[in-house]
Parts: sequence; structure tokens; C-alpha cells
Amino acid sequence: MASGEFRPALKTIYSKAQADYYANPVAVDTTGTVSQGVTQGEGQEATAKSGLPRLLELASGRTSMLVGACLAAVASSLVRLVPTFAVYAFVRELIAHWDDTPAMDASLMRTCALATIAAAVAGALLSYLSLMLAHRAAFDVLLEVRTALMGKLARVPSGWFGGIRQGELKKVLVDDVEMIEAFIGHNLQDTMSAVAMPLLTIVAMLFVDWRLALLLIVPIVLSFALLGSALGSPEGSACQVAMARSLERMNGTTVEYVHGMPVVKVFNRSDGAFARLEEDAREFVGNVKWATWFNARGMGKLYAAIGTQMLFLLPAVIFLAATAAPYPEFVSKALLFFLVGGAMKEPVLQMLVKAISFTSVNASVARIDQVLALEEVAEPEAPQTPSSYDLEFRDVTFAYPSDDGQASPVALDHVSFQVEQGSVVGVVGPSGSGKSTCAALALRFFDPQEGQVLLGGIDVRDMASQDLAACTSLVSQDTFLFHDTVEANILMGTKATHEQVVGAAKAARIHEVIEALPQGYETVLGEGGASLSGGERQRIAVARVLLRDAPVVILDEATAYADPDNEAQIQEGLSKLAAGKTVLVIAHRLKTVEGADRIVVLDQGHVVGEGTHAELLEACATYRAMVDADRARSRWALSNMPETAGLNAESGEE
Amino acid sequence: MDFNLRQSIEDLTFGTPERLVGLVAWRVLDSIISTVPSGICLVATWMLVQPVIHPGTPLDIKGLWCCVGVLVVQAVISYLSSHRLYVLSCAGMSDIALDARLALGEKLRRLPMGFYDRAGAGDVVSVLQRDFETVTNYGWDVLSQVATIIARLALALVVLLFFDWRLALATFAVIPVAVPFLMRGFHTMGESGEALTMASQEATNRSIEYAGGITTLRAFGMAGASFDALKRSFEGLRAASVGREAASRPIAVFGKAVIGAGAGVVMLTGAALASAGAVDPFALLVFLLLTLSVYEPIFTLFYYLSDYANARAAGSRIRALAQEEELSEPAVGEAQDPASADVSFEQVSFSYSDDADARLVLDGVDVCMPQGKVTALVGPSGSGKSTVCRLVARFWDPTVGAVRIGGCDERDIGAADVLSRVSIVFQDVFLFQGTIADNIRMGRLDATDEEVRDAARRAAALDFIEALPQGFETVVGEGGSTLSGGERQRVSIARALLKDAPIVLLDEATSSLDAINEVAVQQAIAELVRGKTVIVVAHRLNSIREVDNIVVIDGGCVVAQGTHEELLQSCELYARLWEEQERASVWQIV
Repeated sequence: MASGEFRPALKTIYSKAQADYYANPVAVDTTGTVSQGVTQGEGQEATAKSGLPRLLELASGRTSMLVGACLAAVASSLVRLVPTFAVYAFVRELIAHWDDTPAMDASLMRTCALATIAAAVAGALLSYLSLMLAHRAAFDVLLEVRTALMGKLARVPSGWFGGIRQGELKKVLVDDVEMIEAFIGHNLQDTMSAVAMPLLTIVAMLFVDWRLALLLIVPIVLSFALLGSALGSPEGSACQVAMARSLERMNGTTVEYVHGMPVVKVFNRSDGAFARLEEDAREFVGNVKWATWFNARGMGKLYAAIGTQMLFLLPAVIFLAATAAPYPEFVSKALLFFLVGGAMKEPVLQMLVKAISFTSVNASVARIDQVLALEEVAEPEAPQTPSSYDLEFRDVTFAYPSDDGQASPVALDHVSFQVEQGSVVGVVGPSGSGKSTCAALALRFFDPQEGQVLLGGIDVRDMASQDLAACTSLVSQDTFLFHDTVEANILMGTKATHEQVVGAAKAARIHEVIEALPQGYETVLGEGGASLSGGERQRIAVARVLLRDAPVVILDEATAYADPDNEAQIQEGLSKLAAGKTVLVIAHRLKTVEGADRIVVLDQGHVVGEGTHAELLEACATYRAMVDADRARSRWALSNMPETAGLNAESGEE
Repeated sequence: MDFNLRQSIEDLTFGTPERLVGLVAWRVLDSIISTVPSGICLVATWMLVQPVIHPGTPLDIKGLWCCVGVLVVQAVISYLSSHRLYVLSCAGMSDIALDARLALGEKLRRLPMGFYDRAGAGDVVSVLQRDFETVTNYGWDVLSQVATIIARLALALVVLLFFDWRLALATFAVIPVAVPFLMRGFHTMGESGEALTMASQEATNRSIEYAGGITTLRAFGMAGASFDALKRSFEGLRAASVGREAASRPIAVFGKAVIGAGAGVVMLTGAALASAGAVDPFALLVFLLLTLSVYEPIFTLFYYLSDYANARAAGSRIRALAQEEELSEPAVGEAQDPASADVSFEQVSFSYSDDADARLVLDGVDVCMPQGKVTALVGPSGSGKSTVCRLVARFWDPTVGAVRIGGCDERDIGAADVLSRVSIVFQDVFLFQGTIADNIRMGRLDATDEEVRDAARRAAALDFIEALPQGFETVVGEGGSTLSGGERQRVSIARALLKDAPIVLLDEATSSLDAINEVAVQQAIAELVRGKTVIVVAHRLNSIREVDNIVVIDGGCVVAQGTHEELLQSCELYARLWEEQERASVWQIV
């Protein structure tokens, strides 16, 4: 678009975005869509098809049903023409016997009436058939797509799932897939019949009188041309984009406004937060008005154009009437066209609405495809199984994948260490040193860029992921409990007897708590069910892992819950868990791993020390500093007296 | 169906039902204008049939051209009225909706802190986003459509009655037959819609669970098709969806067929009347020409009714939020100004629900937390210690008894004033989208850069802030750069330091930071509490062993109070908790 030719469509300025656009129409990017949530930048080029073809591709497993639905829809449109012709026949008979109605052919009139009734019933049945077929197909496709997404998520590297993705994933699995339903279940066959109805009518009318039939097309072409020019103009898309963006912005502000309200209130700053909400809400409404006023002319023309069938038919009828013979026959025909012309308005309107609604499903399909295109964990072609369970990090270098495609800092830099079967190795280090990354790599949440993680001498990448999962257990800071019974939550798919479950629960020191629940082991946890405290949840996790008895155990900050009434019990459970296994402990509290066979000290992705507690105290400065900090922490006592408030980590007794 | 029409009109027009009148008027006008071609069609037909019924009469060419002229004028007027109607229906409500949205925003500011403490924050967001969208997009427009359709049908009935009352009755005879079926279908749709809503809710919950627990599931080899709960919920959703269609459609289809058959009934009646010579041929012609289009609005009506049901539900949720109870405020000019920062609980009982037999979270708590002293609240999880902290900040008002600051009942101080005297260090820190400096300056808006820097220094946050690429100007919060848990806490403490409130509420973090970070946070807290009235919810007894006053809470009651040494002697619960923690702190895995 050349900016020199730009002429603002409106005189009134309703929003900032509009003012900006009028000031500089070229600078505003109207091509970009609004940001789409999930995984920008990932897997966008993976699926070639988009929009309608992609939707049909998703539905390809149900082609016969959909074809059936469309055929039924078209058939029902055809049947709907019957009453029009029945009326036509009736009218012809009436005009032929205008002055002597008793002479009208009674059986013809009855036939017309019965045909109309039969057509109504058949049309309703056909549209029902079409709807049911389409819905069946749609719900089947929905189930397939959801199952595919669910399976896909099971093969994406576990590391991909950060806390923030939960909401986005739910949106894809539920809301976006739901959008397909509207399309396959309604739009597809509605569109078919919306297109078929006017088209078939016009074709049928060509046989009656081709000249008048062609005139029926004029309003349709006219309305589509008007719609196209309204949707296609640069200012038209600019205001649509502005509206969508300001809506997204307002929604973001709303989320922050609600979630941040407690803080805002404490600091008595709700004026500022409110002002922001108000500003964004006003801008959105301004853009709505801009778009409305901009589109109003086009829409006004469009609606006016749809109703112009008579306007085009009547002059033609006047011209043709002069030469028409026999005249009564011509009058009946003209009346038929009047009838059809009037009946054409609704289907054309429907067609236009469908044409607009096609675009709304595209964003959803794109988000579904983004998830389906995510890179999967590579499964080995010839999976190997380890015969022993030594865990080894061999020269491992790893950086987290970043969403924006930029290189992220290296989290582990040429890290090597070993955990022999039957031994306990602790990994310690300041936050950000990479110690939790070790757990993530051992469990193959990610694959290292360089080096290997080996289990019993076999690269974990050469093990089937099911096998790897089967021989490792993780207890972490967050325990995820499922909306199911306590027993199922401990079993987690393991085949074990109730007695074994109780045994594990007892060993994890959670048995008494479970017994005290309303239905004991059959109590359903989660929403609407019983809730457990953080420490209790963690003991369930310990019971899970105890029951599973995997040879490799990884504890990641497992003693994080410091509730006085829980921690000691969690610890007892963990000690049982660790007996005789290959144990890797990611520890925040140095005390926890003081007695470990070996401690690995990490700092900024490097191994800076390795040895027993005593050896490291001698040789590793980082470790010594951590020990000092740890002492200072546990010596700390809260006080609001000025003289004791300052805290000095160095002022120990030693 | 329970139509509380007046209420939902109020809801859907944000309390300005008079606005609806204008829209309905325009829509009726527009629909009259759009029926002009049908009228012209009748007139033209009349003119066209004259030469047939009165042989020898010439065709009234002039009259027909006049009809064309009327159609041209109609097209122009139709443009104007559609234009007006489009603007009205898209933007006519936007100012009112904006006012309503902002009023709700205001309302949210006045709601008690406790409101945000409940699980409902997500629901509030969905009301402000989705429900407002539904109401503004559909609500009042649907109301006007329904009103217009009913008006059109009434008008059609009058016009047709004028031509021939028998044929008019035949035309409308099918409606009372069909409407019960359509209503029934609509109703069944609503009923099976509930099953569908439940199935859909279940699928949503299971999806959230799956997304959140997938790493756990995979660790146990239960991801993908082997996670039955999610698969079952998807299958259940499919079954409920099919069930809803199967339950409601056939009835509706029958109703549709009956209405469609109406034209046949008119023809049958017309045929009988014509055979008897008992009908004016032109009246019969009129009926034949109109009979196919007269039923169209009825179908549209039912289409709008389901939109209306959605909008009505959204509207009532908005109203419910707008009616959420606020905390009482003292009358203007009568607010009390506490002279000291003593905090005291006087026979306080509290329960989260108004139910008489609801569980008491606090039961007759009587405790004094003197100015300038540290009071630690200790007890098993679920004992009510955090609730005590919340009541001090007036998240809620007590069910029985009074919470006092400086001897004044908090209800007589005013919520904002209470909050201005209190600093809270939350466990989960909320940072706003903005720079670190902005986030700290929330504590005191007029603080200079130097003061912000000083607060950061005292909160042991200066080092890490300065190490960030843009220092204090680094953008944090959603979409901004991420800080670690310990860093976020220190930013929030810097904020509180700037605020410098006389009462400090601390909820000790339960999740552990690494030692170096935690020492820094401890340092920051030490700065914050210096010389203040401090109330701390303690999880680690070790850190509060030196405080002035430890209150042991169990089952919502104060069971003991004293110093660490005193309680070790006198309170069995405290001694047990202490002993367990001592044991835990020296635990080693092997």
C-alpha cells in the first residue's frame, strides 16, 4: 500500500491504535496475527497444510461419514425446492381459473399440498441425517485428535513441560479441539447446503427462463464483492488486528489485576493498577468502535444488496412482459421467480456468515499442529537393557533449549562422575550450579548435547524409554497426586496386592494418615476429594517409589518440606528407600548427604570437587563456603532487636 | 424453562434496559423495511395478473415502474437502516459495558483480601474476560432479535387476517402444534447439555492434570494411552456430545417438519375453499406467495434461544460477582486512628463459611502481640496459625470477637488503613510486569532512586540486581526475565522495607532455598523486622527460639504461650515438635 494514497475512512478518532494508523498507515503491521500462546517458533514449518485443507486432513479418517453428511445436506436443499415448485403449480392453476376457482383441478392442488408436506418431512429427516452423520464424524475426529495429542505429549521430552505450559496445554487439548467440532459438525454441511441451495435453485430456474435466472445471480455476486472489499482493505485489517491485540492486552492486564490484587492492596496501590486496567479497557472499546464504524458502510451495503432480488427481476419482467406469449404462462413464471428471489435471501446470508467463520478455526488448528509437530524423544532402533545399575555421567555438556531460538547458557559443562550400584552419591552446589539438571538428564527429560549418561554401561539413549522409566524412581519436591483413590495413587500402574500397598504406606509412614481418611485407601484425592498436606503428599510419593522398588533412586530436594510434623517421617521413608540401591541425591541441605559415599560439588556447571565430606572440607573451597552458609542458616534466629539483627556468616564458634 | 426475563434483561443490558428500546425499534424498523420487497412483490403481482383476470385490460407499465422506483428507494433506506443497526448492535453497548467492566474492577479493589485467598481468582478472570465477551457479543443483540421476531410474527398474523381469516388460521395452525416439540427439544438440549457440561468439565480437569502430572506419569510408564482417566474422560465427552445430539435433535426435527408442512396445510385449505368457490382468488394468491417465508423467523427464534441461554448464564455470573459481599467500612469521619501497633485478639472465632455448623478454624483465640515484640505462631499444619496472620491483615473479619490494633477494633479502622500499617511477606511472591525498580517502588511511590537502591541493599538484593544486564531497569514479571525464588523474595522484602509499616507479618517459606540464598533472605528479613511488631508463622522452630513470645496453636485453639525455654518445659506439643525437628536437622540419608 502506498502511503500517499491513504485516505482515512473515518473522521472521528476512537482509539490510540487508530490515531497511530492514521498518522502512519505503513508502519502498523497488519499482516501479523495475535500471539498464539503455545510454543512460538517451535515446529511451525513442520505441517505444510493449514486452514481448510488441514481440517479436512484431520477428518480424513471419517471421509465416508462426512461425504454422506454433505450428500444428505445437498439432498435436503434439493427437497426444499419442492414446495417452491408446488406453490408455482398451484399459482398457475389459480391464474388459469381466476374467475372460476371451483374449476381448478382439485387433485393437482392436493398433490401440490401433499408434496409440500412430504418435502417438509423428507427435508427435516435428511437434514437430521446429515447433522447426525456430521456430528458422529466430528466427535470421532475430536476423540482421535485428542488421543493423538495425548500420545504425542507422552513422547515429547519431559523437560519440555514447564509449570507455565499447563494452562496452554489444557487450552489445546480441550478448547482448540472443540473448535474443530463446530467446523466439522456444523459448518461443513451448513456450508454445503448454503452453497448448494442457491446454486441448485439457479440451475433449476435456468430451465424455466434463463434470462431471469441469470438476474438472480446478480445480488449474490454483488454481496460477495462487497464483503471481499470490506474484509480486504488495509484499514479493515488494521482495525481487526488492533481490536484483537487490544483485547489480548486487556485480558493480560485483567489477569494481572486479579492475581496481583492482594499485593496491590497491601501496598495501597490499587489506583495505579486500576488506571492501567481502565486505559486498556478504553483502548479496546475504542478499537471496537473504530472497527464498527469502519465496517458499517460495507455491512450496510452488503445487507442492502442481499435484498435486491426484486429490484433486478422486476424491470426485466416489465421488458419481457411486452412480448411474452402466452401472457398467463409468463405471469406464472414471473411469480415463480419472485418466490425464488425472496427465498434466496436467507441462504445467501448464511453463505456469507460461513465465509467469515472459516477463518476463526484456523488459529486453533495451528496450535494443535504446533503440539503435534513437537520433536519427540528418539527411541533406539535396537533397545538395550542394562545388566547392572551403575549410573555414570561421562563428559556431559548440556544447555537448555530455549523458546526464542537463541543460545542459552550452558547448564553442565563437561561433567563426569559415577554412582556405583549400591552406593549413595550426593550432588551439591549453589542454586544455578546445575545440580537439578543432573537429575533431569539421568531421567532423560533431556538429552545432553555432548557426552553420555550411562546406566550399567549403556547410554540411556540406547534404552527404550519404558525400560529406563522402569528402572528409575524419582522423588522430587513437588508430588503430583491424581484424582483417584489413595491406593491407585500409590500403585501407579504397578501390579501389587493390597497388602503390599499397605506395607509400602507403612514404610513411608503414611499408613495412619490414610487410615484416618473417610474411606481409607479407597478415598479419592484431589478436587472434591480429600486433600493432603505437602508433607503427606510427599510421603505418598515415597510409598509409590517403595512399592515400585526400582534399582536406581533419584532424590531431588526431597526433604524440602520442612513442616515439623512431617519432615522426620519423610526422612525415615527415604532411608528405607535408599537401602541397597544406586542413589543420586540432589541436596540443598548439606547435612543430608554428609554421610554419602561421595559428594560431587557443582558450581556454574562445572565439577569443582568430589570426595567424602571430610575430604571436601579439606580440599574444596566452594564446599567449605556452603558448609559455612549452612551453619549460619541453621544458627539464625529471628529477632527484631537492632544489636542481633545484622547477621554475619563468619562469626561462628570455630 | 425458568424465564426470569426482567432479571436477565437487566443483566444483559448492564442495568440499562431502556437502551434496548432503541435497538429493538431500529431492528423492527429494519425488518419492516426489508419486507418492503415482499409487499412490492404482492402489488406487482396484482398488476401483472390484471390482464389475465380482466381480459382486455392493458398492463399497468407505469405502475410497475413506480414499484421499481419504490424498490430503489427501499435499497437506499435499507442501506441506512442496516448501517445504523450494525453500529448499534456492535458498538451500541460498548460504553455501558466499559462502565460495567470498570465498576467491577472498582468492586474488586474493595473486596476483602480473603476473597483472593480462596481458590476463585481464576473464576474471577473468566467472568471479566469470557462472560463480558459473551454478554457484549450476544446478550443484548439476541434480546432484540427475539423481540423483533415476535413482533414480525404478530405483524404477519394481523396482515394475513386482513386478507382471509380462515387461511390465516390455517397458516398459524401448525405453530401451536410444533412449538411444544421445539420447546421440548430445546429443553432436552439444556438437560443433556448439563451432562455435556459435566463431561466437558471432567475432560478439562483431566487435561490439566495430565499436563501437570505428565512427568510423574511417564516415570511410572503410564503416559499416553495408558493413562485411563484422561482417555476415559475424552470418551465420556464424546458419548455425552453424541448423547446430547441424539436426545434433542429428533424432537426438534419433528417440530421443524410440522412447521415445514404448514405451507401444505395452507394449500389444502386453499384448495378446499377454492373448490367451494368461497375464497377471493387474490387473497389465495397472497397466501400462496407468503406461506413459504412466513415460517422462517420461527426457526431463527430457536437458533437465538440457545445463544440467549448462554448469555443469560454469563450475565448472572457477572451480577453475582458484582454483588459479592464487601467488608464493612467505618462511616466517613468516624474511622479510628490507633495510637500504637499492639495487636490483640479478643475471643476470636472464625470460620470460612457463614453456616452455623461450619468448622471453626479458630475457636476463642485470646492473644496479645505487643508493639515492638516478635510473636511466633507455631503448630501442626492445619492448626490455624496462618489464619491468625490473615485476620491481622483483615483478609476477613472474625465471625465472633474482635481483632484490635492499638486497642481499636479493625472494623472501626477501615480496611485500607489497616493495610497501610501492615507489611506482609508472602510465601509466593507476585512481581508485576515492569522493571525491578518499579516493583520495589510499589512500597513508596515517591521514593528516590537512591532510596530504592538503599532498600535493595538492605534486602541483600543489590548484588544480584546489579549483575543483571539492565540492573534496576530489568523487566520482570510475566514475559520478563526470570528471577529465582530467593531473588523474588528479596525484591518483595525491599518493597516492604520502603513501605516501612509498623507491623510485619511473615509467613516463613516452607520450601527450602539453597543455603547461600537463604542466608541472604534471612539477612533481608532481619532488616525488615528491626524494631517492628512482628508476627511470624513459623515452620522451623530453630529460627524462632529466641523470640519474645511463642504462641502454640492446635486445632484452632491457643494451647500454650511463652518463651522457647518455658514451652520446652510446659508444653508437650511444643516439646515434641522441637524434638522431631532436631532429629530431622541432623538426618543423613545413610
